[in-house]
Amino acid sequence: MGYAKVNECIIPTDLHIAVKDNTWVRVNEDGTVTVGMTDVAQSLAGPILHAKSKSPGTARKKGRPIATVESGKWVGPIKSPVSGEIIEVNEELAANPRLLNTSPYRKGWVVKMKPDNLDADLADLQIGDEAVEAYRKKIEEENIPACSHIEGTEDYE
Amino acid sequence: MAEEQRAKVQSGEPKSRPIRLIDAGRVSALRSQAIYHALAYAKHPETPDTIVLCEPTQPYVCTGFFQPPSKEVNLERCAELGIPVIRRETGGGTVLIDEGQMFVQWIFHPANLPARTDERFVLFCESLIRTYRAFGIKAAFHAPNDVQVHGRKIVGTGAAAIGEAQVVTGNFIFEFDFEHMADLLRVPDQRFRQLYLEGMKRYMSSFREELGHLPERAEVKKRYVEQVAGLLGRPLQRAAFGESEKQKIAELEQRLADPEWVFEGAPARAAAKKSDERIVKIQADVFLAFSRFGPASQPLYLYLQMKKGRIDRLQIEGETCMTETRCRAFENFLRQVELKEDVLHELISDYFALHEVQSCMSPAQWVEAIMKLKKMKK
Repeated sequence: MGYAKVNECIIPTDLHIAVKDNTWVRVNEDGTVTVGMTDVAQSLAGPILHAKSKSPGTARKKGRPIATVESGKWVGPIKSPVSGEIIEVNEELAANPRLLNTSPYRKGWVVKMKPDNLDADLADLQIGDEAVEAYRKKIEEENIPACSHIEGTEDYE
Repeated sequence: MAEEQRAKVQSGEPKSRPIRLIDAGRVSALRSQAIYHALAYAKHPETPDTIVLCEPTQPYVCTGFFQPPSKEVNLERCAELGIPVIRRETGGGTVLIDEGQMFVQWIFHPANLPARTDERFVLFCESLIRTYRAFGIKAAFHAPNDVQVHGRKIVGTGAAAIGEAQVVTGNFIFEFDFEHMADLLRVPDQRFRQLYLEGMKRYMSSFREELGHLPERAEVKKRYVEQVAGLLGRPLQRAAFGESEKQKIAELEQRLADPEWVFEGAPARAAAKKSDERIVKIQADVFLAFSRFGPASQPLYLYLQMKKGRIDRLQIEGETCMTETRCRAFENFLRQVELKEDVLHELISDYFALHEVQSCMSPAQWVEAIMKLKKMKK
């Protein structure tokens, strides 16, 4: 699995990334997608204390929340990068929300979805060098500090 | 650090662009929460960054987004006293809000605040710290999101991404009704309630506690406006709510009062069953935890107040097989001891050997029980 580092933030090159909302999409073999938040998102939020996903069966439009997280008195949504139905949630996050910090691209996945129109949604996301460059630009423009990893990164190192 | 934040904020924003200041004055309990939610949901890219000041006219219990009122709040007591329970979209714990507090609410475009959550709290808290200091109160930032004076909390904070805005809220504490707060929190028993009350009195402060009197509200507002304008390097321009914002506030008042939202489908007045475990946060470094151990026929109750990873206070109740005097001496012996398994094991073993302590539990079992309480803290 390839990745790049921008300002200490890990950007996978094989995932489709919604740079604006700091989320990622992995396309599974069965046509479903796995969705999560990026390293940038976990670093900006800080140590996550609570996570709650929408229930399986919930239909979500792109940009609507699929989960809500709390890190030290701040609460924020994880916005869906695709439209579709939530078919599975990562049950481990409720008991161990820190997985979002320690393993944002693997153990800390958030939901699996059955997309309504995957091709159209993927066209709005970025992948590979394009995603890396988009993140580089965002990090510069928004003065995003270097990513911090509270317990290292299990994902790529 | 606040200076760095200020520089960052200024770099992306024309210095001349004013911040809208809305002094909403005295408002109902529900409105004091609905305002910032509504302004955030109504925000569009052209809406100026807004700071709202408001003061609730009646007491209410406010729970954080992830704090289920059925577990956190003494709902029977609230109903008896007619105290509303309002759940907010920002984080943090359960608090009593009343006339003794004044809200400061920032509803900003995300680009005009630091990107990191912890840095947003630093900047926001700095505006309150400078105001307290203008009154001679030596307030200081205490990571990650507290303002303290001599180790006592003097500001409550919360934050959220709501709609297209980043929201940060906090309050000046003029005076605090500790007894009322202890009465309205759901606790396992009266001993826990008493310890919680004593913990709050020891670790929370207010304008009244620090100055010996209450400053004029208008003077606090004036000083705050001066300090926040200087901190952010932007002028503040007084304004009123727009028509669409007023509509949104009315809409949010309904939503925030809806039992479906507040209780998330749980029974609003579920009978409070005595729980076997409970932990509450008193301030950033201080937690009070309770757990029941042993068989039902011979229960043992431990109440542990933790401060910065050490035992601040321990109370033991129930069957210990120790004499009363020995039990109290054991509690005192453990004060200030570091909450680490090896440290506790060595000290308790030595203590039991030195004093030939007869206890129902071995040193290892005591360590296990105390560490269980420590682990309840997230």
